[in-house]
Amino acid sequence: MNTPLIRLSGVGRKKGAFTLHADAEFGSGVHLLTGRVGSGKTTLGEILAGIVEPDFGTIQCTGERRVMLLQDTSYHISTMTVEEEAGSWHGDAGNIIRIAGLCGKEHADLFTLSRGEVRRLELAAILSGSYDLIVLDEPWAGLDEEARRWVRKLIDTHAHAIIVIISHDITSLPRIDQLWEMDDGVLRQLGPVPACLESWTRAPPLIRYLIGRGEVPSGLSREELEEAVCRIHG
Amino acid sequence: MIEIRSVRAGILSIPSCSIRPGICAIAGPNGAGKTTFLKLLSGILPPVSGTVRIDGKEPSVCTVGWVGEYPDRNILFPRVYDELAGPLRFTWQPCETVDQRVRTCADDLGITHLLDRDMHGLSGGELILVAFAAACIASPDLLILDETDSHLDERFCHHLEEYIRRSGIRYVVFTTHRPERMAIADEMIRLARGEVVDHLSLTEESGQSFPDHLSSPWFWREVLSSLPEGGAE
Repeated sequence: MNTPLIRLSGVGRKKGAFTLHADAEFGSGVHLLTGRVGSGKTTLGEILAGIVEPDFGTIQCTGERRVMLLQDTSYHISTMTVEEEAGSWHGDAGNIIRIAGLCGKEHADLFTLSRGEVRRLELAAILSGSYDLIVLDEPWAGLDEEARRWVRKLIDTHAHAIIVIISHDITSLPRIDQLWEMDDGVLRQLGPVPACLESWTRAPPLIRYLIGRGEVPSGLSREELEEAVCRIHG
Repeated sequence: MIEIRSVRAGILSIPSCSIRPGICAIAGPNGAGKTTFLKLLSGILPPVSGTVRIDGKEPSVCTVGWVGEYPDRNILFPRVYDELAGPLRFTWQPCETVDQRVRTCADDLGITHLLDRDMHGLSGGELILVAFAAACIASPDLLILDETDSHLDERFCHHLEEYIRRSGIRYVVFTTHRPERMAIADEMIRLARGEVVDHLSLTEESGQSFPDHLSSPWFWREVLSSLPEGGAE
């Protein structure tokens, strides 16, 4: 099995007055992509996933390219019931339903599920499949505490894949290997976690709070952050 | 007070629940009935039995503003200006009043530069701001935010929270799964399987227990108040 790798060279895309620029290499591991609303994170995710073609630059991929993107503004429903929908993905439908916590709702109309339930079904299908690249755009949106926990666990089981998580929500993360930031359309690699945390100038409040108290967390996962807080609060 | 008495509606079964003026957070697992609860408060979903009263009035006669997770699904007009003006025009306000209020509201939220833009083509963040402005412009009795924060960054959330505080809207009820967002709330209702399982005041600390620090609104208040600008850069 080849180790997957995606290399973006001089990649760019224009959208009105906005231009996206990315020169980067994504290897296997979990990548967190942060940045302001409107900075181009979703567009970069779409380019990585191959849904959107860049206007210039080249993308090289090694590894079988099975790419999934969970877009944050819509659901991807193609059937009527939970069972049919789970069966429309690669993989074992029963297993997907079980992971999603929807046992007993196999015959339910998808439109009678809550938004969180539909998201869980989609995430279970994506994360139980064997993909080389998984792009998750705001995966925690609409998910409750328990679902956030199993999404973390499932992500941790993908040892070889390239997983790119786009999120503003830093209290539900799995173990993160690399940190990236989109700044007004320009992709910057901040570096490996936790080494890069102290120089993360736009770190969210919790990280700034911890670093301000001399407690650099050992990583960005929920458990690592809680542990750092415990060192201050006991 | 918002008073819910002996209500059955959809999955909800609520014998009694009272919400004080201020900001109230609704928490709970997926499928617990959070959005149904918001629909009940706003009068979109009339209860099968029981009553809901907002300061003694039926929700359906109150002015309610609603911002959902995907505001682009509820756009009425093609131009930002008209989207903001809509709620005022529907109540037959004079043109000069409408124009003045649209401009004041846009100024307060920092979206004056968007007024002549097409709704189509706004970024996700701009859409939320416009939807938020349209929900607040008619000075609603009740403002509902249904997981509006799902796709917003810290600075953005802070901006909206500042606006909510300044707006003087009597009741603000929001759902969220992000514990740090609970820090702004005065009270918190936790739902599970259609029932109210917890109802906490967050105005004074009285030994409520949370599973860990990152789940506690009190901890988040400490984080945000320890940083300049309440955590916004």
